[in-house]
Amino acid sequence: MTKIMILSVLMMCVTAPSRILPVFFLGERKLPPFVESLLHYIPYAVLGALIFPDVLTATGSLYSSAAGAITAIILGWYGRGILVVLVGGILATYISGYFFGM
Amino acid sequence: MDAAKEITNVNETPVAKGFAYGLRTGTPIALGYIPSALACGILCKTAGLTALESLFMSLIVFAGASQFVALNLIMIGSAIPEIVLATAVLNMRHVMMSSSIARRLVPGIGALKKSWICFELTDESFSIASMQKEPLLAPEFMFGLNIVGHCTWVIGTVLGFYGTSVLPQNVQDSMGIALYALFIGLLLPSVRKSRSALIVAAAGMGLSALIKWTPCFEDMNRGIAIMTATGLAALLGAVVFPLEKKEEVR
Repeated sequence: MTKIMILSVLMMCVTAPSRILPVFFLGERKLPPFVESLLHYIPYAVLGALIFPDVLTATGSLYSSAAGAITAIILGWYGRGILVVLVGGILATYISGYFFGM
Repeated sequence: MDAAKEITNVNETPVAKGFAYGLRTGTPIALGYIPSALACGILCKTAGLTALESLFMSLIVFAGASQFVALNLIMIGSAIPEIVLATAVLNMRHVMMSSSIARRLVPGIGALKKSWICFELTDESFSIASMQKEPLLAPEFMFGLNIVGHCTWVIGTVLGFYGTSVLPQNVQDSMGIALYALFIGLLLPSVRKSRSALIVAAAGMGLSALIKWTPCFEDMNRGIAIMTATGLAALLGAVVFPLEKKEEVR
């Protein structure tokens, strides 16, 4: 078992209960509206917090990171698929890295 | 639950059943997972995992968002307890999905089968299962539906991992942006449609930057900083834009 494998097992130990336990305990009970709202907003909050400001140091160069991020934002805004956003972002980073250095 | 009433109705209620039917219904999930699974493999490689570790993580954790966040935290040097805590917080939304699907399962399924169905449940398999026209779902149908996504996820992770080994070094360096591009690609379509989601995401960004750039917090671990920003931004959303009372699905 490597450190990553132990981490994986621990991650499973915390993700599995939130998937499994509700079937046995919650049943048909509704959660309080406040808790439902909180759970609803968590994905947006976490994505925002993860993206900025760490995206600026993603590649070690501000220019190539910013070029990749801006390209991804434009592609994402116009509703391109996840693969297009991903490849577009990487490509823009690569091209600007070529001009400004990595 | 009024058990007696439920049971008398079971014989007349249409049920989505059959493992093969579940597999067929789950095919779109496989197609949808390929890019994210490849991205997951690419990121595992970038974060310094071995192929076996990547496969192991995708197999037993099987939670896209949590894995991406964990890989990100590994890259920025977070300690194991923070990564586990972040994973736990991120997966809390599964509580909603599992409790919703629990009402659709055929009554009287054993505890082990129920647990397995919910262990493999993802945003995508949940969405497809919820949209079935049959009011009740048989366990075999759910097994088929879930296994398509699970297999695609594991195989895609390994393919993504080896796909990057053949790439030149400067392309691999550019991959550092991949995780953020993925997050941006996931976030933007939803914030474009919802002003409250946009404000919550912006608040998350602002708080995350504030913690990072405020001198007295500069020693705070990034994992904890991101969770703090997340909690506060979600709290803001729940207070300022409480969800409208929605009609019960079915």
